[in-house]
Amino acid sequence: MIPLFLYPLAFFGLAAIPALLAIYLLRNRFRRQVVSSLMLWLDTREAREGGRKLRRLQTPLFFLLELLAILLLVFAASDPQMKMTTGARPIVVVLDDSISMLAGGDQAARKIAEQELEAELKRQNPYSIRLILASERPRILGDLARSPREAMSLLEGWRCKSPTARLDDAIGLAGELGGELALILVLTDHEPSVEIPDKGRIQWWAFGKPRANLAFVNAVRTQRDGLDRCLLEICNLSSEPSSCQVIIKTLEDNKELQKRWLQLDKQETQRLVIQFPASTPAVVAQLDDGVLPADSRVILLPNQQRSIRVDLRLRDGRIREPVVKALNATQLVQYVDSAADLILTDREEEKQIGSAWVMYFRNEPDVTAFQGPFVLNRTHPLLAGISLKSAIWGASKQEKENGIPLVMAGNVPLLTVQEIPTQGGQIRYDLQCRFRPDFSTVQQTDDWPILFWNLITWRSSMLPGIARPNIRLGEQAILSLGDYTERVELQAPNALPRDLIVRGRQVSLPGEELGLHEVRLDRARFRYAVNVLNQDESDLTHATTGRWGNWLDDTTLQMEYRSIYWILLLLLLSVTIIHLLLMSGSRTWRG
Amino acid sequence: MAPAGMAGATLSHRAGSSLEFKDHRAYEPGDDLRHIDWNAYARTDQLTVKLFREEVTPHLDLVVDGSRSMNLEGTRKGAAVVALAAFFATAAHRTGYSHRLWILNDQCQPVPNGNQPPASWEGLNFEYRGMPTGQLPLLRPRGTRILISDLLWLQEPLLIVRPFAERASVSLVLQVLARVDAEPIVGQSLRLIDSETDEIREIHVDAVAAQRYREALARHQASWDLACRQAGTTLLTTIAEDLLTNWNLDPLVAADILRVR
Repeated sequence: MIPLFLYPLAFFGLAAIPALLAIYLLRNRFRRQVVSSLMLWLDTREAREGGRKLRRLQTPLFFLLELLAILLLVFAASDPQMKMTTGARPIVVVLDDSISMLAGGDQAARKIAEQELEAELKRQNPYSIRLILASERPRILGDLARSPREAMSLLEGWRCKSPTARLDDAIGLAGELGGELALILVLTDHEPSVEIPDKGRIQWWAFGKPRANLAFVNAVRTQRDGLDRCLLEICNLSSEPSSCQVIIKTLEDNKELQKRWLQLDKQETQRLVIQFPASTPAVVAQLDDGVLPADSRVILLPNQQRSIRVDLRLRDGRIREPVVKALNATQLVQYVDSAADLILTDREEEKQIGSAWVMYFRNEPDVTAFQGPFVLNRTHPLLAGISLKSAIWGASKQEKENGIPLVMAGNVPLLTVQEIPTQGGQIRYDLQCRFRPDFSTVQQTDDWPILFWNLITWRSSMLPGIARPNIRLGEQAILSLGDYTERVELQAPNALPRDLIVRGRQVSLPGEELGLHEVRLDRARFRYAVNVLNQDESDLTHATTGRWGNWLDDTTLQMEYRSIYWILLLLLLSVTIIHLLLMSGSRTWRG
Repeated sequence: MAPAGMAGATLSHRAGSSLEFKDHRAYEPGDDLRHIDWNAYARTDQLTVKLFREEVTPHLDLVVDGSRSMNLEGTRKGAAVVALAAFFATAAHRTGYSHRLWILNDQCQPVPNGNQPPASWEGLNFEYRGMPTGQLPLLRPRGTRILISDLLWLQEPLLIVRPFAERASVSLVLQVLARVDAEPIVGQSLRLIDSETDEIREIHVDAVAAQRYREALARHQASWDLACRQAGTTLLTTIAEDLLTNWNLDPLVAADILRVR
């Protein structure tokens, strides 16, 4: 165990050693002298060897003792501090959980970091160990560990599956959990974004290595108008040109669909658009030259746009015409007379509508043209992207209205929404829209088609099934259920099935694991795929190796180190006494 | 040099058998009865022996240690040894001595032209690695013998000294040391290399080590001195650098090896 020296300048005192050595060398340097005979020197030589063992040992012994005395004095002057075998401060380890930590195989930053952490914990033997995973949100990994062995066993949960690592948030959590005395160790693959103080409670260890990487940075699959198309973006994340092969196969039977060679310049992103035959199942695209397995492979499930069945019951042609025009523009509408998902009507009440949503266009007396300003509930999906600037909205001035206002002109609600439970335990929405086309210019503005696009997509998202089956790592897929249920079963890759709680008729499906997920509800099966598709995380050119920060602050010195200079002084005293005794013995012998 | 040697034509300073009267002394058992001065006995009732000058044929055997340590690197030891050998040979020649130069290695062998003046000597080099042998050749009896060496080897000195001095008229063991042999350098760490064996010792020579070296040298010299006295010869020590600087031969005169005219 290497001690810490509070006054390292004292080591200049070691310059006395060469001086001592020179003295002994000069003293013991022999001059050549030819003599007539050595017979007369035998007596002298024998005398030297006669008291001899003592004499022979004396010179090196004196030298060693004096050398030892100098060393002890110098070391004592430097005030050495020995670390106590058990640390007095808890340690909180922040683990970078992003996928870039897995780059490099056997030389991956995660593997090296684990080894270094084990060595450090054995060296420090801290009071307690807390592990925190830095992913999109910091997460505590396991319970508080009391021994290095216990802590290392918890590292099985450090799987580096996150699309990003918010280390600052994790360090903040570490500080709160550990308290004022806690030491914080960050294990990652890149350098800190802010300066780590030389003496403090944070150490930042990076074990990354800059690497060239080819990765999928975007992948989308859409089905519209009977065409199943796939968009792939591949980026060469390096400073050198590179080439690669992209192979697209079906996921289930591994049937090759496409194979493309790409030549990419440095930092170039190329886009591949591939059209599949109808009813092509899930496909997987694979890059042959990626450093990170996670971003070299994407799974794309069929993403069929679900059309909305619309029952159009508008009798006023001044409203019907712009509405039909806007609905047709969405290309997601199918007009029906029964079993509709959405009814658009200008009657006051509709009967036998089942679970269909209804949008009422109300023609009321006492109409005026509102020029604004309009107050919009922008958190509602129906009003996303709508501004109503320069628009004139003609409507009745009556203030009373059922439901939650979405658009208001002063205190007059123009568009409201009301959530209504159905007999089957489902939820449907009634939209009340006060609208007089002859007093309005809204239908001539850009906001009009946007409003109906929002209406159709909102309704579509509430249809049973997963709206976006292909999501990025860290995102959530939304599963809408037609009927009321309390829980569904999720089967994630390489994990045991687990139940998810359904809130309302929707359940949020986590995208925490890469690969194909399956949600089971009775006999129904819903699948979604999670891919990395994160250019920042795939870019390994900024990875680095280094250590920043030092825990040797005053608190650490006070709590975990003890000065041992007094031991050295005692040893020095002993050496001095032995030297004196030997010197006096030598003089007695010589005399 | 003081004359000494086998019977010959040169008067020696020692008592001998020539016709030239030298001195009287009290009779000692073993003295030649023919030399008893009966007249003195009649006058003093003491047995007195007449001493006559000895007539000798003087000869000098000059034995030089040929080991490598005699020409120690970085010292003037070799030069001093050669100078001394040449000096003795020249002095002998001038005083009517014959002389022969020997070099003491694993065997004691005569140096080619060793009986000639020093300029003619051949093969006087110091290359031997090892201890000098104790087996000396048959040196001329009753001659003068000088051994020049640093004596720095581990051997019983009597093994060399006794045969060297045996049947010699006068003998001298002259130890020639370099300054560093006598006074080691203090306060340095030295890698000592044996000049003969190349053995290495690394020693920090402090005052204590130097003192112990000096004590070891003194003990070594004392053992040689004892051996020399037991063999009836004389041991003298000189420092090569000092000798070559002031050529002080007083110790030789004091030992009656040299006589100043």
